[in-house]
Amino acid sequence: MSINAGDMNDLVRPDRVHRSLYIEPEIFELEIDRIFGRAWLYVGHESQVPKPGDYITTQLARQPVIMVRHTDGSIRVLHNRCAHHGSMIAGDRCGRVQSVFTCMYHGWTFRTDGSLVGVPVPEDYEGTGFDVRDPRNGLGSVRRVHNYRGFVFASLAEEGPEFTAFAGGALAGFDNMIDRAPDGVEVAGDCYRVVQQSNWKIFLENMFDNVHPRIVHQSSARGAKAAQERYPAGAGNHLCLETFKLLALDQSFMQRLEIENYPWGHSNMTGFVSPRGQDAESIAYEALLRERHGAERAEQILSRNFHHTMIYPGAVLQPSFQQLRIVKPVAVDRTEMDIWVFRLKGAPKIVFQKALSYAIGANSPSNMVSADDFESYYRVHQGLRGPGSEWVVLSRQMGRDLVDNGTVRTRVGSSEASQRNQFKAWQRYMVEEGAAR
Amino acid sequence: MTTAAKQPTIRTLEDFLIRQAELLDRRNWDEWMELFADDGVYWMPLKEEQQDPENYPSIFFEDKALMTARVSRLRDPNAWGQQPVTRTVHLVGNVRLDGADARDGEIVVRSNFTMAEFRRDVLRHHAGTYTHHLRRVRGGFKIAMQRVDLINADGLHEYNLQVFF
Repeated sequence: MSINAGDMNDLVRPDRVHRSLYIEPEIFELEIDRIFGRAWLYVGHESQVPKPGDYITTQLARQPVIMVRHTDGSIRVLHNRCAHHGSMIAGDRCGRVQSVFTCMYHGWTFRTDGSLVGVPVPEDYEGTGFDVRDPRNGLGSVRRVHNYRGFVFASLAEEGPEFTAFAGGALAGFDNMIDRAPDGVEVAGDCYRVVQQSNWKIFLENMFDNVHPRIVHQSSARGAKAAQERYPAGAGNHLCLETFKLLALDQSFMQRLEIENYPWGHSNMTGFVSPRGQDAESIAYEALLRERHGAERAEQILSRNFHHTMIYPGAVLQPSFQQLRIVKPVAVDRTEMDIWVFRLKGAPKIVFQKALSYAIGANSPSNMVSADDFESYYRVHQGLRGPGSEWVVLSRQMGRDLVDNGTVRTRVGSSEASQRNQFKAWQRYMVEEGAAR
Repeated sequence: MTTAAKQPTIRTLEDFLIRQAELLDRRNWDEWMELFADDGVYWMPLKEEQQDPENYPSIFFEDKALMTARVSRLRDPNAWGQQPVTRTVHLVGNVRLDGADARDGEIVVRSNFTMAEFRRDVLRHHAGTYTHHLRRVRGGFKIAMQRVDLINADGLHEYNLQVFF
């Protein structure tokens, strides 16, 4: 398959998208370049690199990068690639350097802002036109980096919208999680790392699909019911069991959810599991937030309940339970995901206990909910390989959503407005601005 | 205080651990759960150095209520992720008694295991260590805690770990 812009434009229609978007390796390579190579992607959280020399490694659009705290206290995002022969400078997922990164291959050394310190046998380069004293011959910096209240995002593109203009309405979810923390947020331990044997877009669409839960997750809901019947006292300690049960309620329950969709493919969805509680610890926590923010502002923060906040195409936050899923596509049919849990500093233990229960129930590699979600992603991907059905239909509630100045708001939870909005952004990246670089 | 003379033999402990693994491989989760004390827990940390399940994320951390939910799902005719089902076979060995962490009345037993897992034409190989905290009861033991440390716990997991290790 050889693709031109006209072909690709025809693959996305108002009510449907063509199956080739999910299965064609050539389209996938273009997505890596035009979408992931251009969008603002999540890199890491500042609590992971508290001191100068602390670093983590990750990948942006498959390219290895280092996020490091520089000696001046700023956070830098560098290409994890020696300027000499291309070797990755940092080989582990996190670590600390005293003052310089040293390449393990030929010993080139670099400061934590990426600038070159020195090379072995510098006289070898004399008269060759390569100036080893030029600090610009260092580890390249990722073009644009933005630290949003501790959450570090980066874009590999030289030009494009500023981060806050790009993220737009989706920042409300990040703000809400951060504002819930009396003393800021921090990463709690390491991340879960899982692989989906399916195209990355299938996962993002599913985040805002409110018809699948009672079909896909019915066995988890029955499991929760069985647990509550057999261990009524013990089951009460698990927020996740309560969540499982809600997944399989009548469709009218999910219809109450609202999804707001923004330019560049982002969405916010209201929550159906409340993080608030009537126990002494929760009451004390809310009092603490009122102390910090004032009664009115605290109530605003606590009464907003987001189930998902997505910054397309790479970050899905669950603000009320402090979980962040990062999508890393590696092949057309293989998507890696890092899943982080955050701690609200200064909040009582019950707040983190709920986050952990949610993590065990819905995000850990053993969780019972994704066991069936991953199966549906796999079956969708396999089904789309065949030529039997050319189109994926995304027309639930089409034409009935509320459009206001670029924001699309659903009337009922089952609307596929987010999915349509994701593909509108896809088209913008891939076709309209596809040739801009 | 348990005296050395009263310690169970390695053979007795080994039999218990093999029985535990066999019940899992036979998908006989009812009897498997019976091996646990009423307040028993099944724990798989995300990091080997993890000391407790309450301050950092874990992969599994289940009491009998959560075990019941998992087992019920695994048997549910509409658990789509179990179509086809997961088959496993365990091998348990290197059993050793480690009394160092023993709280009152509990025996700490460490062992190594490998588990082959087969689902939808894919065969996977897992390996790790078990740490069992056992309470003596009439006729045998009850598990107070089964800790499972996979050597790749913080690595990439190919798909959901649906069954117990």
